[in-house]
Amino acid sequence: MILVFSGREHHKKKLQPVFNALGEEARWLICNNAINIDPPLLYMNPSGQPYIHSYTAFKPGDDQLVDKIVEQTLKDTKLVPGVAPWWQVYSTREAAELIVSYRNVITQAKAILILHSNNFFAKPLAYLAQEAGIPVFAFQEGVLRDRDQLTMNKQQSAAEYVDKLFVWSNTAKQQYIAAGLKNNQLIVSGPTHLDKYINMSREEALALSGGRQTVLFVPTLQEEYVGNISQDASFLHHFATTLGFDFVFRPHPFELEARTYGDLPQKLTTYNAPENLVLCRNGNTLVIGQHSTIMLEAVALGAVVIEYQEKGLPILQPLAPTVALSATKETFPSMLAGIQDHIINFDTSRIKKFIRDEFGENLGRATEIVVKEIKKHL
Amino acid sequence: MGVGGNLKLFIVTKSSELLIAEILKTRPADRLVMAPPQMSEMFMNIGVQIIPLITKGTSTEERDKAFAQVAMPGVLEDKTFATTQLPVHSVLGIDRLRFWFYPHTDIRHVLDMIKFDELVVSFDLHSPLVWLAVEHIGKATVVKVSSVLDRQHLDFLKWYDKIHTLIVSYDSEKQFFLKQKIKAKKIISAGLEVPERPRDEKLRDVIGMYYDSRYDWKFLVMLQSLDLGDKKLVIGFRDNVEWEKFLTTFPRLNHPKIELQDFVGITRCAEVLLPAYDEQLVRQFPKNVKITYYDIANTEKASLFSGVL
Repeated sequence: MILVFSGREHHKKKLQPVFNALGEEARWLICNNAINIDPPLLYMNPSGQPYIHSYTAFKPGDDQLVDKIVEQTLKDTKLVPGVAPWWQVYSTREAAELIVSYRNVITQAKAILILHSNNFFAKPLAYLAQEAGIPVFAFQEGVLRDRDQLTMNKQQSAAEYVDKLFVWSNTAKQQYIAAGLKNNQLIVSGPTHLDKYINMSREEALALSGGRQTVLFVPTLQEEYVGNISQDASFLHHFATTLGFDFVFRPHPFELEARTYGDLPQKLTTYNAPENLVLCRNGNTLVIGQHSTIMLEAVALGAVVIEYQEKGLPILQPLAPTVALSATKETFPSMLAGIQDHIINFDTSRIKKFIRDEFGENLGRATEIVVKEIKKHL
Repeated sequence: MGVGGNLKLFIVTKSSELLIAEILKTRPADRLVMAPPQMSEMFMNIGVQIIPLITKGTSTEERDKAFAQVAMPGVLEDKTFATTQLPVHSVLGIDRLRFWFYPHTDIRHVLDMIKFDELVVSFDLHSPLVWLAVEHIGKATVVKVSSVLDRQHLDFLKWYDKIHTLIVSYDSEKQFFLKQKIKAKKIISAGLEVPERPRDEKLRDVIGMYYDSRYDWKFLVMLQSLDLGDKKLVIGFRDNVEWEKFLTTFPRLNHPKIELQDFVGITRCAEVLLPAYDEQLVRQFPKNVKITYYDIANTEKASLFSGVL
């Protein structure tokens, strides 16, 4: 059995192509996730796909083992300054529960797949799997931010306790090597979750989205965003609809689940649009936001991408002017009105090079490469 | 901090009647009260002057940098989870404690400018500020401001050794914590009477199961091991959001013996299964409802807190 770990729902979405391609040997592995709004059972149970919930594998006496791990781990541990202690005790107990429950289920596994090892729930799983001699595979989840590596060593820790990390491109591979990973730990596969959309024709995507000309606003998390997302969404909505575009406001998935913007996304969204990547593929959508993975994916899928900052302040790792347009509150209305002129001025060879650098040479066949590699290790 | 005087510094991030009583029994000249500005009106109404606790924001980059210094590995250096070699910071760091790290709530420099003799704080585990103060001063009196009968409070009290005095509401709470061998040097009970729950003589002879999406896996386990006999099963929810989540999670759970009810409906069942002990929740059930709890691997464990009040 190959256990494919899914924490929050985006894990499942990203890993679903690989799960499908692995066939009957694959089982989802989920665990308790009491502090999130989307506990795994909520999306996994109705999917009808085979899964194992690690917490249902507790055996009599495991409660005492969990208590022992909590007590011994906390002993002599200092309080982390600046963090509410509730989180430290809660998380220590939760990690102890994961350790005990994972040990009960991984004995059945030939391989473990996780999205990445920076995740609270995936890190102990990867560790325990390696301890038991079970190969662990992980994936580049999204755009690599220099800042995250500098401040938190995030690229290196994403591959901790991982045997093979599937990355999107040679450029990404070099970044991981610079962060301290070994060459033989890295496999350039491309992003598996994009295969379906890359292989989808424009006509198919248009049919799924009803052929509407759409402005898709996909901001990053508010804490990463320069400006005020609610205000920008309302402003962009006003001009887009005035100029005859449909409008879709899709906050970052975490903020959407947390209802950070209340009813605003529903209020500003003008029709029941399909998922973001279908819109990005249909050739009829302008994608607006600031530095996020979806902006890069939009470029790969051939959408016109506009980086928006109300006052023109600098944003994190901008894509403009190479592969994106750049707009402010002042320039956005006229840019939108004459968008065709702006698109014509774009240098397509630059876009092609950018896509090759970011997503590698394997766009559309990444899943096949991943599954072939995994099977070599079984 | 001075020595031998009477000046008490209260840091209030969450309030309770118990804590207000502690403040009011200290003469105004012998106390300083620090609290967030949003509590000022409440304190003004009872004639207590406060020093406002004002915080400022920081950028994500500054916060991440500061967190990396503090806890990656920082104070967690060389700590591994028992039974493994897995570093604590690698699990708890990036994807958990970082999100709850508030460097801008630092109060230590303020404390250095005030002379006082005793620190008294809200027993507020959700406040980083309170515990920065306690750590800095080295000891404090901690006053109950919400239910303390849960796993997190117990784990904390068995671990944390800088609480000089813990003040709780009821004698039974004091006895419980004494038995649990917590690290507080002294436990004082305010000797309040535990509020009596009313009885309901018209309970339905059915089994109730309270659904809480945070513990949905327990619901699965409880359901699989349940022997209904000839009784009906009533599944109850605290609100519509939970009800909706249940219907999304278990779209195919449809049986003539299963009935879905709102919270009032579940409080009328003669027997109820709860996924965890929750004092606030339990107080809403009539006294004569038989409540059973479920926890990891057994039910006895979850009953740890239920006998206290």
